[in-house]
Amino acid sequence: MADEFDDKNLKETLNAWRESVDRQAHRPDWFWARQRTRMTSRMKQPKLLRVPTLAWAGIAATVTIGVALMVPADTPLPSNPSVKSEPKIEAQVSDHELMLQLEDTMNSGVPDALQPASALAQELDQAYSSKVTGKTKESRQ
Amino acid sequence: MADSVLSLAAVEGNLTTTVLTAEDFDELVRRNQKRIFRLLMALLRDEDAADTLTQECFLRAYKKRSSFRGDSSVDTWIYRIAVNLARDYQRSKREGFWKKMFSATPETEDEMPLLDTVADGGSNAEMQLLAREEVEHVWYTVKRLSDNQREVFVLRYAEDLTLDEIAQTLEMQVGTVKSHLNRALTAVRKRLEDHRHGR
Repeated sequence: MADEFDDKNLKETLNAWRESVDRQAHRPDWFWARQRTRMTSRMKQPKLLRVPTLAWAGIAATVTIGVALMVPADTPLPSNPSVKSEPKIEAQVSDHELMLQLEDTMNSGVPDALQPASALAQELDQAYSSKVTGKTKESRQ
Repeated sequence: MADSVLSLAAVEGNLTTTVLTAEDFDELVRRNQKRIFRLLMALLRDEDAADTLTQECFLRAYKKRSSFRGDSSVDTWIYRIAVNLARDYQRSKREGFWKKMFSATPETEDEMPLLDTVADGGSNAEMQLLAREEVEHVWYTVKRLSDNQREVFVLRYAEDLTLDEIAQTLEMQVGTVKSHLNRALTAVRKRLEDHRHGR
């Protein structure tokens, strides 16, 4: 009894442990069949589907950068057509029309916030009319 | 192990020429899936992980069939893939240990004894209980061995591989295998002696 756990005891215990492994790993036939079916279905998966999402993101980023590098720096970037048409509209509005629009706005009643502008417009009108009156008098003389 | 090695000779021939038909692969799986599952159960003691990694093992074997050089048996090659998968799994599990430490879910299943794993038999109930406890202490010790010691121990005592086969599977020298096995056995014996002495 000097060495309580001698080789014989150890061997018996290890055999019992191995039986325990066998018991824990024992499964019914349907388990093995299901495992094979799962393996087969995974083998049949298209390779593209198995590419990780991160890889797809990387591919997309690479393509984007590649396209950006291929566009020359002095090439004008494509822009919204509606933005392009704005200068044309501005060019079509003549100075005379602009003055008419301004006059209509002034006559349509001035908000309080625009009173100083209204006063300025009146002064300009008066100055203009006095100039015109002066010129008329001079021409008569 | 020997019978399955010999019976797979035809499959080996196909593997070396990288032409593995679906029928060959099915045969390979049928002959090895139980042993690979048992090996992974012994290494991990986790049914879900063993199931998943068994599938992964054969899928990898199928994908890498062209890299099989034929300098070892198919069985050894499959064992090697399984052992590497188990090692990777345990590594990732260890890395997740600290995450679990800070999570709210306590992990108790590791320490749960499975005392019903020893077959009933024998007349002395006390001896039966002692035997069950001793088996549980072997499991406990195996779980705490180093990766190399655990792999050598399981391949030797659960899979009944020879030292040469273990050396081929783990790609190490036979002397190194002996050294790992000796340390593993010493740890198991010490644990069992401590148990008997009530320590």
